[in-house]
Amino acid sequence: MNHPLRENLEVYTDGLGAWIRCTKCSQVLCRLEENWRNICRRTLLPPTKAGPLMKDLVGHFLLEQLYCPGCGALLNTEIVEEKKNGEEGQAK
Amino acid sequence: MTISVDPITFEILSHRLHQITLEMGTTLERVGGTVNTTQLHDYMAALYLPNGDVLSAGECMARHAACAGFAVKRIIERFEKDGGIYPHDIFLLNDPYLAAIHQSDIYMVSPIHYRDQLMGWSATFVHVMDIGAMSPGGNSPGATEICQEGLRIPGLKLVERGRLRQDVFDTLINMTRQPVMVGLDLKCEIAANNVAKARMQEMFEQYGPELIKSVSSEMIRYSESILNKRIQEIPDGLWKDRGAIETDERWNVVLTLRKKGDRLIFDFTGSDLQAKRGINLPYHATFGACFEAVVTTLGYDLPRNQGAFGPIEIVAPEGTVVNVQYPAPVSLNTTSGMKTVQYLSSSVLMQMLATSEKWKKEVMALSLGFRVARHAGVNQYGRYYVSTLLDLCGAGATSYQDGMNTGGYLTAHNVEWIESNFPFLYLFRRQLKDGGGAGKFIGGAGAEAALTVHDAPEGKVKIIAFGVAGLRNSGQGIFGGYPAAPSLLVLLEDTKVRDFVETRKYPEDLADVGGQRRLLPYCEFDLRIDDVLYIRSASGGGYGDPLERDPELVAEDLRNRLISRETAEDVYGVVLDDRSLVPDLAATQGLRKRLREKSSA
Repeated sequence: MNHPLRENLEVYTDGLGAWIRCTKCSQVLCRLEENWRNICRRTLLPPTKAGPLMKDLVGHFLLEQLYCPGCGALLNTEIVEEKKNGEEGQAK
Repeated sequence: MTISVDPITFEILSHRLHQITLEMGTTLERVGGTVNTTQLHDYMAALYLPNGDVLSAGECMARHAACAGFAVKRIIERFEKDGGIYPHDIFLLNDPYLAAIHQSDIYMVSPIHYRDQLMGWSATFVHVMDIGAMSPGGNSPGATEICQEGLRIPGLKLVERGRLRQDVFDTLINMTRQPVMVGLDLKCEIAANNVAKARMQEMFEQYGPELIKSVSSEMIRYSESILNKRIQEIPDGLWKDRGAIETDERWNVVLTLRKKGDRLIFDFTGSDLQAKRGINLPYHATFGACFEAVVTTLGYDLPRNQGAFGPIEIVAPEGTVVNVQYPAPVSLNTTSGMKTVQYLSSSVLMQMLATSEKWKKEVMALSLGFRVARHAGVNQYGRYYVSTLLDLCGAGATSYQDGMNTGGYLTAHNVEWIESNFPFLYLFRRQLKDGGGAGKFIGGAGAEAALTVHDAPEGKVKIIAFGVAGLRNSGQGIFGGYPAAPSLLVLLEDTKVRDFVETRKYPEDLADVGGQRRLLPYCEFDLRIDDVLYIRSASGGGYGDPLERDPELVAEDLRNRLISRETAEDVYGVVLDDRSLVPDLAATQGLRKRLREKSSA
């Protein structure tokens, strides 16, 4: 059964199983039971990219954004801890 | 005996029951003494069946209506065995290990009899301004066990067959720092329960008890059947989220929602062990938070009652931050652990709603909570006092509209009222610019305020800082929407604020007052005359990609001072004419294309 998963993503079923795909470009990201976040293009930005009042978060947190690998549609934005990201914890 | 109820009678009487809870709330506000009750809406009024099941939770905080139902059941268990339950009795309970959330929230429950038959119960709570804890106001950042957090009452009879037990009343209020005000708050609860009893008895007299019983049963059946049907419409699945209660320490909360058929199982397995800080939630409070999340997402248009309990199951391991055991403290929990559990339970429900074609439009960005402070000391009239400082928050954006600015259920005090009652002078209080999370739909703006000590006989005021103290609080974006500005409590020490006050000038920018800036964790300190306290409330998170926001709306946000020019260009990618501030659509299209390529490259 096809149904939405969240804004810009849906669950799509065919003869081979259930998949998660982008509703904007129909790019299949992964199987339903897999984590679609691992397939996305990911950027880490300074928290102030979300606005000037985020300056107290600088040095502690980063703004993580996930994009569809097919069309670049923005799928998720959240604040993540800087230290958790190891070598990736450098903002662009 | 159950008698049939026609739809019109059902509508009239069910709304009349709801109206009784509203009148109880109005009574609390008009009789109560402290700002929590009279201005902030920090109270609850509800009606219950004879066994303590929720009949009408009114429009108050649903979590408390659920917990007060447990309070009724605990009172029945205790007093049926010893002491008796008689017409015109009123009972008091505030034990967080039995039914309350923390001791400052005093539940009062009253049996409602008609011709000597127990027909139901009314219940209220108000957040009293002191409870005899180690910190003024009750919220005690330094408490490591519940015995430091004030009076803990498992149930006592405050009014016996209509007569106030003055000895009990005096004992209670004398153990607080504000006996007169706490006494007023206790009496407003007595008054509200008396209003409920009188109005219910009028209904029994007018319609007969059998019809009221039938309407009550039908209300619960109606809510449960509609809610079950709605849950069944959504695909089965499993959704997870995790959060943290943060200050100078950190406690993790993990939640998995399993939905199968018409069942919703909220499983908190994996959450951290209970803390030696008052952030812990008792099991019934965790249940209450999930109940509230369900009724506000899937049942916002339904009568709030026991019918919404049916689909909910909670798994909360004992001895964790979501199912605290004696003697761990709880006094900070309503603005810490509760906020985290509210966020997580709503978050997994939002993820669930998003999988339904019918329900996905109801998805809303959520908040992880805000900062709040108590203040205590000697006021300009030489009297000791305790009171509250908080401000209006912005709401999260939804899939179809922007979040509401500076609103919410908990309302805010009036600045002139604060200044005329307490030794403070506000430097400013205003809606926040660049507060709401960016998105296709923008989060609502919170507020910011700065104040200093003024006309204080002791030259200082004690401040107790609590709330969600980690910087990752406030509104969180959803589906690409950006997070909102964090809620803050900031102390500026040794400032030039007296120069401003003496010259009757006020700083446009907080930096103008100078001083040493310090973000406040959970703490207790003296605010002195050269200090400034800055409070920033939470704003709402954004929904969707900000580069998809209508440029005309971005221009309107700028004109309304909700965003800065820099945010309009850097975050929303909108190019505006320098003079008219009208969007240049061609240039905007080009800028957005470049920003999109740069971000996702």
